Amino acid sequence: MPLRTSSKGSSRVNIETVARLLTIRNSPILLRLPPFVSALCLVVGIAWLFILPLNEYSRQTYVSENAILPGQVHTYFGGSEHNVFRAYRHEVYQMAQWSQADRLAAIEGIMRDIGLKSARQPYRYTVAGEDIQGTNVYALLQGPRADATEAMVLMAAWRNFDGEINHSGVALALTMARYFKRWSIWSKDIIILIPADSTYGSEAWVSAYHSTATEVTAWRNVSELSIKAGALQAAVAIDYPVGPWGHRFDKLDILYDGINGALPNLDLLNTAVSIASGQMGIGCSIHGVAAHSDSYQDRLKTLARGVMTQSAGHATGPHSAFMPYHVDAITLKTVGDGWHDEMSLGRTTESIFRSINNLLEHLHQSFFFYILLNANRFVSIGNYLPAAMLMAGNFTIAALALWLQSGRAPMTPTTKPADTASKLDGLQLEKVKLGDAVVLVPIQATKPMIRHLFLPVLAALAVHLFGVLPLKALVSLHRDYLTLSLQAIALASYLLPSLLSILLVRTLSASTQQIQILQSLSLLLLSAVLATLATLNFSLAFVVGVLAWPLAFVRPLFNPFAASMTLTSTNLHRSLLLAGQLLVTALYLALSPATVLYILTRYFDTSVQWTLLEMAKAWQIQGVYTALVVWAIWWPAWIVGGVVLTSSAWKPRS
Amino acid sequence: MRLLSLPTPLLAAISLPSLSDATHTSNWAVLVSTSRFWFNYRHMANTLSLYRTVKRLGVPDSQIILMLPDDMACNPRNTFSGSVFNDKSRELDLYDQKPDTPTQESAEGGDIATESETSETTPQIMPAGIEVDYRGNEVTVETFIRLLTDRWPASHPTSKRLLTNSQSNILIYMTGHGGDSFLKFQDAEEISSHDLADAFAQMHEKGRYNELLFMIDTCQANTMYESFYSPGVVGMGSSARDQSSYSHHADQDVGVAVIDRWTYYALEFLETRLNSTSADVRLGELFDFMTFDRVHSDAGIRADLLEGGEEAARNRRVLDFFGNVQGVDVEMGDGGRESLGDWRADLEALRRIGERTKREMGELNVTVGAGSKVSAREAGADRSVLPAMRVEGDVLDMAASTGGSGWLKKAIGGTSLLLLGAAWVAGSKMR
Repeated sequence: MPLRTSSKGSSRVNIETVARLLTIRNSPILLRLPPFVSALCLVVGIAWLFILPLNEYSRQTYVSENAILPGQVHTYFGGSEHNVFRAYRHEVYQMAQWSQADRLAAIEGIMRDIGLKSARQPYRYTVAGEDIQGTNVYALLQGPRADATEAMVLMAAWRNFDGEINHSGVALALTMARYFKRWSIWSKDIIILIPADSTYGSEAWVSAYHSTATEVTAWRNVSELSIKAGALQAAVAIDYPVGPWGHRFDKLDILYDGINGALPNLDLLNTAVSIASGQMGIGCSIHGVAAHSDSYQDRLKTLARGVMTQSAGHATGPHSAFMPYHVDAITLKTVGDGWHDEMSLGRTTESIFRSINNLLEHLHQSFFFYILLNANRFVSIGNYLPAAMLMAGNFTIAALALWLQSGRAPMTPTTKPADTASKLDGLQLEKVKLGDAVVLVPIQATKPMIRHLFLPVLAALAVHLFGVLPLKALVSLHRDYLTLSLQAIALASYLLPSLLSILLVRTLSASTQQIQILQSLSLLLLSAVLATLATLNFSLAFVVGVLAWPLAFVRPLFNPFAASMTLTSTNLHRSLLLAGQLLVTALYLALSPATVLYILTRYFDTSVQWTLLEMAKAWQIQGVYTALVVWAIWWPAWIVGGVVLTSSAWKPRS
Repeated sequence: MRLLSLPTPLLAAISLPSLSDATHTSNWAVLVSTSRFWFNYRHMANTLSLYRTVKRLGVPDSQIILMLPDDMACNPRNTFSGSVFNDKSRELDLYDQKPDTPTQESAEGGDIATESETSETTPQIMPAGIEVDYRGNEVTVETFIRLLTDRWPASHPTSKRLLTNSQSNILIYMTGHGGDSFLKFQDAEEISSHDLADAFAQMHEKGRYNELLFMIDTCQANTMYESFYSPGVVGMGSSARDQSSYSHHADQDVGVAVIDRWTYYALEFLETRLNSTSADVRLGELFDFMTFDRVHSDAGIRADLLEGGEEAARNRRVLDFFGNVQGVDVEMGDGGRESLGDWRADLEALRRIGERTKREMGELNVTVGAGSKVSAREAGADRSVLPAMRVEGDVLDMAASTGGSGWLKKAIGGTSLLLLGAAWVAGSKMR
């Protein structure tokens, strides 16, 4: 420190600075500021999302990859291809009545007839006592003049994401394969993939595609692929579950959310949208907002749905499994009643594949992080990230304030002094000698408080490690016990804070300072994780930030009827305080992870068991880490919040 | 011989225009596309279109330097493999120049025999095929500058050099992606207008051109010729500063834009106005043809470096740059008499050289005859080196000994050779 300087002048300046800083450090405004700054961060962070749909904060989408040239080619899918398609659709309809073995043989037969190499891939997952098995069929169309280093995937899952049989989708994929086979312009190979199931079929296939050897475990048995091609550049899935009589659709819903909120490059989406709407005249929707009037409300609705889907992190279609492997993928889902038929969908697909075919390198030009407000309007990461960062910052500020507080000697009077004079009297001043100057500073400012870190660090660590228990239970128990275990976890979560605070305060006699440090550490960890997570999955970080907001403001409860309060407060005042504290406690309990889960299942009208089972499957099979964030990040922070809340109640009376 | 029998005025009439126009004796063209990749198809089409035009107007392949960084014809994405078109009508395959009237098959892009069949019925038959002088990764700024300034290693093939002289007119056409005072070469590097200006200056100093027409079709093209400072250079660009140059149209079957606007209209002009190798079309007409309505950007010219300024440039024939002259350069000075005197002087000089050589040969014979004289001269030379090489006394001793015992050494050498021969004979006998 430059306090010991030989020059008189500079030492004076230093002393003045130090004195001023010491005064500021003790200024009552600064000490009371953090909760308000914290609250401001919270409010601004949430408000931030609401301004994003405005024109000033979002942008029209544009294709930034030069090579992709969307919609610059004539599409020739039509004419007699329509007859071929209808024939295939009838065959697919027939197949749906057959056994799985016959069906697979029939699909492979068609692929072979077209002149493609075909292969099967059986897979089996066992999660929570449930068997998920199926067999993927796929074929490889080798580009006649291609160098076999790159490939693109055309997919139609046998069953779509809603479990319907994808009659027209599969038939269209087969027709496209037959049609593509006749072109000589492919610079990449084309893989025609018919996964048995939208989520796990494509997952099994894409994971086997990217591994050299697949290990068989008790819960995972995925066969290797006998045919492989080059690096996958993009994948397009068709979801068109219409039977042999056909159905004209109104719009294409473009699904793009990947596992853990990863998104495909915006250029792929833009290409699909510009081809469908610009070249073919098919309207596009995002997140099922079909009647989008481009108003603020509709944009906000699309944004909200996008944030919800992304924060859940689960698969939304056969394309989702491709994202963790950095293969950009989308699903084209037909929605509504309109006048577009299978041929326009086919032509759209053809044009999209011609565009992907034009690529010279992996899609990289456009955004990977974006929030869509409309099929052709988006918010880029620079505009939306501050929202999540403010949420994380709110916890950081609270944590730092607590840390500072824990390092200060407690100000003696809790009651307000009657006037300024007595306030000054209460302030004990001390002489500090700096060189040849003397400064008067309050005694609290100079007295160092030793922080007893061992217990809080241990407690914080233990609580966070403890989070593994509910996670482990919910992802590995048999499905029949899932609901029960969540109930147990909910109950335990309500009791645990009190029990822990008894343990800490009574048994281990933790001081107020140590409780403050515990909370500070927990909040610091929460904010660091949320800030990091925000760059990976913005929505998840934001949603957890919103749900965990009270944790930044939790302070120990106190008894308004205690002896120290009776002197200054009226009865009414005390009653109000009590009511306020009860309200805080109720809010705290309502925002527990388990309660929120219950509320969400009620809101989305799904069963708790189904939700938990899906979460378990997503965690086990696809590595969706939402459960981890909930149980190992949010839940421990929530528990620590409860410990703080109840800590004063168990304080031994002095 | 027959000319001699013609009346003198007629003879004068024939020779006069050739005398007044014959400011140059050869025509060269440097045609450069600077971008690769499928979506830059049009740049290759631009360049090949110009290539076709200059070839049509008589510049032989040996005097065209063609630089193409990519091969669109063989790109797997090309629906019409082996062909490059500059119009969506696809009437003209630039890549393999077939007869002007294409067959129905070639228009449809089906399987066409790539060897051009020379049919007698069509009026203009182009020599088949294209000669690419620099292709792929060879198309770099360095290559281009070396080409212009002719700085090559001795091994560089003549066919890939710009063998121009001070009587050559050069057409330089460049197309690609550019910006303010630069043109990108293959996504990796760029050439700046200053580089170009300096290269032209060097060319001028070396007498590598008579007049030079620089054409460039790229965004902000006009900025490329702003820094030129060498006399005799005329610049033409497709767009002003901060302006984009646009493509003309896309072929929906090829799936990419096939030609740029400026080049498209330049070609339209050249195709419609220059129907023969004697068309008297002036450069000014070409300048005026590139209107904003056509090009959608402000096409520019720069002619102040030419003697006579823009007026002179406008009066230049288009064929002065796009066509070919077949003049013979006879350096005649003021008149025949003087040149005869020159020849006499040359002969006299040759005679003197011959005499000198004869004299020297005679002298040499004399010195060879007197060996001791040579050794004495050598010793003298060595002595003169002595002060500088004082340290190496041993070497000097050996040199001194060589002087005295020359014959002895020869005798020893001969004897040892004889001994070796004897040993060899003995060895072969013993086996």
